[in-house]
Parts: sequence; C-alpha cells; structure tokens
Amino acid sequence: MPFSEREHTADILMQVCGSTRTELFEDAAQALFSVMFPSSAKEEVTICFTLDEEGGERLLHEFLSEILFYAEVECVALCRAKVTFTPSGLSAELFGEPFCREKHAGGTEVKGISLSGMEITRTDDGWCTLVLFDV
Amino acid sequence: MMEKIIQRGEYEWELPIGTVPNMRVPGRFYLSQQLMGTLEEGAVTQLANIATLPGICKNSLAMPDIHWGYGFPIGGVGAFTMDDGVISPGGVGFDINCGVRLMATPLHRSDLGQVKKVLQELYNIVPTGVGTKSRITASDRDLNRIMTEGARWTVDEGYGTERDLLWCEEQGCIEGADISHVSQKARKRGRPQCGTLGSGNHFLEIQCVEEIFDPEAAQAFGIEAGQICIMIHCGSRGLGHQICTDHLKILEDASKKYQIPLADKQLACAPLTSPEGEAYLSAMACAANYAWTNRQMIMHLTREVFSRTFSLSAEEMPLVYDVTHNVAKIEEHMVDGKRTTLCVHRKGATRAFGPGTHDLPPGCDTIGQPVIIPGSMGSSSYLLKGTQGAMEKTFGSTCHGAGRVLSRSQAKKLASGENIQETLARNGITVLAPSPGSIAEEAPNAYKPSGEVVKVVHEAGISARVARLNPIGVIKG
Repeated sequence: MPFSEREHTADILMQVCGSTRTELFEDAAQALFSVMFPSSAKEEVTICFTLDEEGGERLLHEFLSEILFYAEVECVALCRAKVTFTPSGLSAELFGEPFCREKHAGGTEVKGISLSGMEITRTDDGWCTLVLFDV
Repeated sequence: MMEKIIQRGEYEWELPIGTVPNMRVPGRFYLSQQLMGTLEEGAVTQLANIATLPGICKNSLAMPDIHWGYGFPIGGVGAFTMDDGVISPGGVGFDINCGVRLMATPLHRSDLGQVKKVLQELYNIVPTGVGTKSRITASDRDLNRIMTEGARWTVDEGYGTERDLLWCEEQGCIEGADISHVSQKARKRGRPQCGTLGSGNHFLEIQCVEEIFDPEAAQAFGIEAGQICIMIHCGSRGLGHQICTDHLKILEDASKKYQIPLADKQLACAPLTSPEGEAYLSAMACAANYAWTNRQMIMHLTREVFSRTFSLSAEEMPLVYDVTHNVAKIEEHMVDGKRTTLCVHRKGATRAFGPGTHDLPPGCDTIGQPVIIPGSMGSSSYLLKGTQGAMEKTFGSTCHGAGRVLSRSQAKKLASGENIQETLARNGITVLAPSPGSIAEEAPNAYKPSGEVVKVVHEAGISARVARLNPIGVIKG
C-alpha cells in the first residue's frame, strides 16, 4: 500500500512507502492529495517546478511544502504528481483541476509539513517514511 | 516513561530530569486524576524534549489540554533566557497567532429569532473553508502595514474602533515585526486571505452567557448572564503557514551551525541573539500581526451582519478580548526573585497575566487579564481571568481549549457529520459547514470535557473562572 494513516491526536500522520525513491515521493504527494482533495480526479491543469535541495528528508519536505504553496496560490485541486530527480534536486509536475468550492470543499486544509518523525529508510521492498501534516 | 511521573500537588505533576536524556530542567504539567487517562506517552515525551533545549528556564510546562503534537506538545509552554536561550517554531506552530476573540452584543437569546437565518447570513458573508478568498484584496502597501501595525491598520481603514485595540492582547500588534524576513511566497499567500476563517477547528460561534462565576470580573469585562456573544477562532492563514515553513528550513541549518542537539527535528532552533533567531522572531511578529488583523476583519463582517439584522452600532458590539495561543513573545517575569527578560513560547497555551501586570485592558488592573477558552463544538466555552498564581507558576500561562483525545480518523469512525449535526440540533445548536466530514472530525467526544480542563486551571490557581458560555450556532470551514 503506497500510504496509510497512522494514529496521531492533533494532526494527520501518514506512513508512505515506495519501491523506488521516485515512487516514495510521488506516493507522499498522493497521501497529501488524499487529505486535501479527496474528491478531485480530473487532470486539466499542470503545474511545473524545480527544486534545488540536498536529497533525503530535506528534499521531501521542500517538495511537499511546495505543493501546499502552489495548490493555494494557483487555486488548484490536485490529484497526481510526477517526480524526476536531477543532479541538484528534482523537477516535478502536478496535475489537477481548478478548485471549485462546491466540489472540493470536503477536504482538510494542511497548514504545513512537520519535520517530526520524517526519516526515509530502506526496507526489503524499497523505501519508507513517516510524514506528519499539520491540520 | 509514564512510570517516571511524580505527583507534586493535587493537579501538578513532574517529569524529573532524566525522563529523557539531556533534560536541563524538570518538566511540569497540570492535570486532574479524572483526565490522567487521556495523557499520551507521545505528549509526555514532547514535554520532556522541551527541557533539553538551551536556556530553558525553571521548567518546561504543559497545561491540562496537553496532547500529542509535533515539537512541543499542544498545551506546551517553554520560557528561555535571552542570553543563552533559543527560539523555535516548534514552540509556536505553523498557524502563528492562532487565537480567539469574544465580542459582546446587547442581545439576549429571545432577541435572536431565527438563529439559522442569522447563521446563514454569517456563513454567506464570512469567507469560510478551504480555498476561500477575502472580500478585500490587500495591496502590497496594505500588507506591509498589516504585518507591521497589525489591528491598527483596520482602525485606520474603518474596520475597527480604537477601543478594539485596547481590548486585544498586545493591542493587536507585536513590535519588532520586520517585513524583510517575510518571503514573496508568504506575501503571495497572505494578500488574498485577510478576513478569512480557514477550516479545521477554526470557527465562528454564536453563544449565550449561561453562568457568571465572578460578578466583579464579569462586569469589568462587560459580560452579563443571558447575553449573546460571538466567538471567533482562527489564525494567520497561508501567510503564517509559509513563514513557519520558510524559517523552519533556516533554523534546521542553524541548529547544526550552533551545534544544538535536537531531540525532535521540529524543535529546530537558533540562539535568540543569532541573526537566524532574530529573523524568525521578527517574521513571526509579522504573522502574528496579520492574524490579529484577520480576526478584526472577521469581527467587522460579523458586526455588519448584526448591524443590518438588529440595527446595532459597532459601539454596542464591543470586543471583550482577543488572545493568541500560538506565539513566542519577549516578556519580563520574576525568576528567583529577579526581574528577568524571557522568550516565552506558548503552543496551544494562552497568556493569563494577573492583576497589576502590564498590557491589561482599561479598568482591569485589580482584576487581571481576560482569558478566553473555547470549548469543543457543542460544549461550553469559558471566560477566565489571569492570576498571580499564573505569574508565579507558569510564566503567566494557562490552557487554550479542551484538547483532543481522538484523532480525526477515529472521530470520523465514531459518528457521521450528519448524525452529529442532528444531535446538536436536537440540543438547540445549529451547525453550518461545507462538508459532513469537517463536522465529524470536530465532534465533541473527540475532545476532553472543557469543564474539567477549566476546573484544573482554576483549582491549580493559574487562572480563575469568570463566566460560562454555551453555543447556539456555529459556522466552520
């Protein structure tokens, strides 16, 4: 399972797994979309950005934080992310549709991505991490 | 972990040095025997972790609404000396100056008529929920003034009164805000959102004063039994969230630069005297000032609705008080008999300054500071006053709310939003929200009973009950 919710009292804690680092990052984005836009499905809008950041948790934290920024300022309900790692960081494409209150209001606003507990580890099946969304 | 807790008083408990490695001072928390079953090991660990930070003064502290958060526990308080102490966004949160204000009206329950009609109008007028934008688009110049002058900007622009400022913590503005430490990203998020409620546990509630415990204080605060009041709970929106995100990265690097070992990455910090520490403090002030402006704008919209519906003037709807419960502030406190300047972090905790302290509203010098404690949806909220006990024991701090006991997913499994809405309606409480899920997450049984939490702070002497208010109608995002 790419991501599953773990119990956390104040916020939303997700365990994210992927068979590759790319999948791990894309699944972490998916976990975030499942919280923010549970009803979004269409891919009508594409947002592209690049990040220059050292790899590992810093890059993941920056990637997910950037998603929060673009979702808000571009008013987009997102449903998928495509990640390509580069020598200096990553480039990303986010897919979604224009935010519509009638359709997308059922999601939960994520205020930020906490660093608490974020640790990318190798497993027998690939990669795994915890990600905590402040709601 | 839990077996190390020592009881120090009927409502006071201690985590001794050594509960986790590298604690510099003990931890102390306030809780009743009745609420002990809600105490989580994760929250206890977080309280102990605060005590590992450099410059921590006396104790790390937690209020009876303590629960598992990130960095500090929710309900956490940590005060740090200026010379060798640190500042950490983990002790403030992403929602800088999330806080709550209470506005009084001359109305009583029988004046309201159709509550649902008034509530619907508020829901239509006050931008609420994910993705909403403000009714005004602040210019860059406006945003600069909002971040540096806070609620003063609203008075100059006709959205508030001079009296509103006097009855707001810090008079709606922390000094030392420096907009040069606020990124373009934060500005882009902040410009269209000033005067929006947000979502999650943010709300606007019509309440009725059900019980007065302290008639003298109630009179000083302008509250009487049977009175209709409005409570507004929200924070600094995307601007604050982005400021925290931006500076978290800088402070993570700073922790390594200044060789500060971290028990939790979210406790990333820097010395208060460092450029990184000063930058975060001044950017945090920008966000705090934005949040006070935000709550003032929402109160202005509320006044417009009530003015139209009940022919009231703004002067007839005075601000009772506004408190922040996510902030770090430079304050003076007595430590071992000496007046000491400290950086006090309150994360899900409220300032509760006692009689004779500074920054009290007019006529409250012998009473103490008003303190507003919102209950969970459908349960009582409380108005308290600050005490000398708080000044002596908790750096002038008390709880901020009921405190969660269930995660959001657990809460949603127990009852649907529709069922909760119906149950509350049967009890005379109307709830308007964009989705049933957002109601289910905030179900009353997801929280500790607010009365018991308030009883603890009252009995422990760190704030005192003044009035109890019950909800009649709620709008939430």
